[in-house]
Amino acid sequence: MKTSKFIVKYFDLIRIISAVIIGFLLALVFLFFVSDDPLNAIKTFILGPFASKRRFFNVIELAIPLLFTSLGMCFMLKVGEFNLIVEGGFMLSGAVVAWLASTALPPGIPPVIFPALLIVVGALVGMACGLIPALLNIKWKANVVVVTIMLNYVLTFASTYILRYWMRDTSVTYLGSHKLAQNAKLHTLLRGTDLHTGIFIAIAAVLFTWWFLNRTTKGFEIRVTGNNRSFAKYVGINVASSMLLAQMIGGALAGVGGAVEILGKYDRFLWVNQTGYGFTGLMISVLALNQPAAIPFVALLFAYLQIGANIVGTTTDVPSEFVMVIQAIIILLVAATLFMESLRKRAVIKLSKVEGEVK
Amino acid sequence: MLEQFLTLDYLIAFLISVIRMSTPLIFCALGALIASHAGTINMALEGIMLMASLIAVVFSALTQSVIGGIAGALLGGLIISLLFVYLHLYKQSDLIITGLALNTFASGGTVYLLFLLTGDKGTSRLLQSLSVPNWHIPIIKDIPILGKILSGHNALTYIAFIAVFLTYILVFRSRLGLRIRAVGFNPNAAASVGISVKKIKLQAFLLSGLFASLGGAFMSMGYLSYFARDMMAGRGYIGIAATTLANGQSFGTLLASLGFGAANAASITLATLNLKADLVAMIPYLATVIGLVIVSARKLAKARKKGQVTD
Amino acid sequence: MEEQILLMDNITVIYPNGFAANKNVRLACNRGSIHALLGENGAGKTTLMKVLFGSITPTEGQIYLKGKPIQFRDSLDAIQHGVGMVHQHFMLVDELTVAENLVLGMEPKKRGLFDFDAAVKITDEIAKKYNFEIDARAIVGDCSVAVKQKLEILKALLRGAEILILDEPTAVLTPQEISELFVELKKLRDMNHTIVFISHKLNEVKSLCDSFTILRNGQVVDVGRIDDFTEQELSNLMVGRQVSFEISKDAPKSEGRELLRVQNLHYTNYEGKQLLKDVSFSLTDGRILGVAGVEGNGQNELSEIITGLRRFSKGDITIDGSSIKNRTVRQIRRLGVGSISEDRMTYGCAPNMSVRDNIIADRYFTGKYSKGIRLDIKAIQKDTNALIKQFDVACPSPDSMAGMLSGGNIQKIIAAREFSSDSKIIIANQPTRGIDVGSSEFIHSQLIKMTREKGASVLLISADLNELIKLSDSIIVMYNGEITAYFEDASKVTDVELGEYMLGVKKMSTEEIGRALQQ
Repeated sequence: MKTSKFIVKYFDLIRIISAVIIGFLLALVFLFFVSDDPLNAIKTFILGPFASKRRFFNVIELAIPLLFTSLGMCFMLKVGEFNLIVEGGFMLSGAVVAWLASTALPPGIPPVIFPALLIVVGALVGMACGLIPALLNIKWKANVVVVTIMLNYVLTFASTYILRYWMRDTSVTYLGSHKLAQNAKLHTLLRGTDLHTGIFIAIAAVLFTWWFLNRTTKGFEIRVTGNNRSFAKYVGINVASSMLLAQMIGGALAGVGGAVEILGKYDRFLWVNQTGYGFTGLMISVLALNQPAAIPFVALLFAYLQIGANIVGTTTDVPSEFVMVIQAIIILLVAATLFMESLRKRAVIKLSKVEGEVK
Repeated sequence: MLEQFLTLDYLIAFLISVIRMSTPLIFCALGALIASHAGTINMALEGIMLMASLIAVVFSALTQSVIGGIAGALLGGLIISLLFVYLHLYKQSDLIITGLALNTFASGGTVYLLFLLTGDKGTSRLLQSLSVPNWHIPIIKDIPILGKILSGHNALTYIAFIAVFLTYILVFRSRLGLRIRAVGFNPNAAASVGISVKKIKLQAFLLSGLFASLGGAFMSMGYLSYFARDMMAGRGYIGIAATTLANGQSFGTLLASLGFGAANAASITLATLNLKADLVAMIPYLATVIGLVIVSARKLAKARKKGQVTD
Repeated sequence: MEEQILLMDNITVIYPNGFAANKNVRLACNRGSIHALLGENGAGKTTLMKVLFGSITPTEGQIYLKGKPIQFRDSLDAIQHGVGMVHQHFMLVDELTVAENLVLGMEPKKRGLFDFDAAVKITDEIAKKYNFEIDARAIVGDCSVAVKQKLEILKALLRGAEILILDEPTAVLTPQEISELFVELKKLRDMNHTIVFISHKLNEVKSLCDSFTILRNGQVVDVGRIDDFTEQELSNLMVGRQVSFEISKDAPKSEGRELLRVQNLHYTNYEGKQLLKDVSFSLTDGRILGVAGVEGNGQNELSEIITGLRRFSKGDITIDGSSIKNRTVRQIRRLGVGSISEDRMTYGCAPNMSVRDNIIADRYFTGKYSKGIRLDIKAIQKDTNALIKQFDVACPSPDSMAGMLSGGNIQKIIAAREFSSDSKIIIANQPTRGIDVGSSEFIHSQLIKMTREKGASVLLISADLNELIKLSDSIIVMYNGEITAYFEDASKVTDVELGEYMLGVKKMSTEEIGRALQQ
């Protein structure tokens, strides 16, 4: 009886944790098959991220961009739209900000003001990216998934265009931009790590998202619109404007993320491919059931998995991509509404039987 | 620069390239078409094609036969399709999340498998895999110019064109097709005469996956002679757009795929002309977005006129 | 001796929530006859037909087909045994042709492919056999409603239906189409088919049917031959006096201020069907105006137009003196309109949001609950907690999701929202449908409180005549999108009388109806 009650009450959590455990076990199986020294690979995967200070902070550093993209996706999903532009918005914002910081703006702008200005620019770039597919969808009902995936490619090429023709440093052999102005960069917080002040902006973004969605009238409108559009109309909410607003904010968060990532972790702009942070952000938001308060935990989990996989990839020659499979499997399990449904059903039946006897 | 582009040789090369670039899009769009007639979207096409192209290479290397490679492609696509069908139809999972997650699954899974089998993470060049042969069509190949453009393509290219007819017959002339369309338009009506909606959707998804798999096979056994990671580059989504553009009509889908293939070919041809490569590379994707928006807008205007949309 | 082809004996259906929709119902039909199944909304007709068509299994009772006991596994099984049904909402694929729809699921094949020409041939043959005129190659979506209905009947006949259930088939037809349909149905009867005809329109029943069964509250009230009864008598039997509940209410204390005025309202939908014709009435403070009518006679459209969800084509509506023309839903709500929608789960709540959020969904932006864009959570918590208590919403916590609660509790959430927002007018559309007795009594008392204590007015749309007569101060009756009767004093009306107007047996004069609108 007690267990049944527990199962019903915390069913979502139990499901998610089970999915993560299954994913984790599968990861071990994958490593086992591919590695010459499976036990070592498994050990590296699990404990690697804790093996040194640098690696431990690598996890937190990676969580920063993931937080921005998953918070961005959270806004999109809250209003009920699969707007995947955070991927492209993140990248383009990074490119524009890098161009401003390396080439276009004078390097003499004072330290705090310079990055603040650039982050605002990043937000605006991201916002514009979010706005376009939202408008196309609201006005003409163009399939938002296909449109945003296509636009992500367009934005990727726009970014590489900026890199190649606006800010390329031809004095280096690889494809990269000029060095970013020192004043524009976000400070490193801890010696021996790359942890930068962007972490505070990321934490602020989490708080902002939670506050905006749960504590403001506009956030309320977004939630009602995403939950039941007919009801939103019936109580007089302007459905189109909340859809637009949510997707603009979602894009802006991705834009801030791109700016923070570039200014915090890079000396030059080097991205020539999609970062994948946008899709990972979608997975994080789905796994966090779109709850802003849960997103940091899931983001850290995904960052931990990714860093573990990266360490395995660099130290043992096992491709780190296996972790994508794991992440996908976790999401597939969580998205399957009926996954573990029989457990819940049994618990519910047991409970109702007990209640019946009491009556 | 422009004069160079306008020479006959260049034009011929361009048209050959159009046909070549269209081949995977045609297969994929036909797959998307079947799913769309069943009233749903096959969001996993990208992953299906990717897995198909890897398994095709692996099987052709193992069996040292082209047919074996094609069979491998179908099998690879089927794996993802079955996962998709099981989760979406039998575990009620969200269509879009499941599709996207499976595409990620395939993206990571192919790299993992590739490494497991060859020890390489980028391409399958270490495998002794085969390519599907080119076909030189008698009579046509001797026609000047036209022969150059139409003959000598990969066998799968010709199969793609034949597949257009096949899907047409399947969807619009067969009993299964009629049921697929009935399920897509009004599942309640289909169910009321005893048609199992789930079963029909399952068949449609599997067929959809099989057609797309051939597109995957073309990528690694024709377009290139090896598998390269993430080699689909969004073709799975472009295929969906092509069918949407053609409103589900087979021959319209062929035309739309050729159009997107032309955009693809143009971006490659123009890149060789010392144009700004990044801008040129956007062309196929921008073309897709613009095409989708125009068609959606027209559909919406039509629905508004009929009064089906009131707001 | 006439052969009894169908006998449903002693059918009882009790739904999982304990509601008995059919109680010991007996329905018998002779071969080659048209049998009318009559009753009000909620009398149990649909449930009985679902049993006959195999959609639900009865709790008790037995169906006999040609004298043999039988139990249907599902609708397909029923079809195979010769029972066909024409649903009110057609089960047709609009995008396919008539012939394709007809043979769907039993398609003719030629060389492995679907044989369209054979399908056309089948269509033409069966249409000829039953003397139906239908174009086999036409796309169903382009066909008129009448043609679609013919196609549905043919679909059932092609599958061997001997017994044909028609669920309110005339509701969607024009008078000419109705008479055409009746000719065809009579022809079918002469070919020895049996038809169960469900309708509310007694003149139609009189002209078409041979015998009838009347249901009321899930029980059979009377059975007989149509010719032995007048329309008047049938109407009285259908509505009848029911075990009624008592509602105590004071006389209305009206200051005579006109809060709602609907004048010469017209509404035509996109198919060009006129759903509201020259509707005029007014409603003063402190009063409840009931709207009686069989469902689908324009009441839903009326309520959606007043709340701003639909735009009207002609006429005007004023709320406390201001016209609502071109106003948004929110602006209309700000004028003081609250509403209970007939479709609770679509328009009444956000199922995955908390009880609290559902209660404040219409007022979260007001100065009382927000400063700028910031929500004042303390104020919201305080007021919603009070409202949850006041409206007796049984929920584990104010943060529980609304969708997890029972229908009655969701309705209470809606009431807590709509009755507490200083509304001058409440549009209550089927406010107690499908909810438990306790909750409906509660909603009733709240409606009375709104008018008697707060001076608001209520427009009560209900299919439950008891509720309507007991609660309303005055009543209008709607039939075919028009007001056909106005009763100044609801306490002097009997349900029998209302029934005659609702079923189109009678209509008041223009002058009498005109009194509904204050000058």
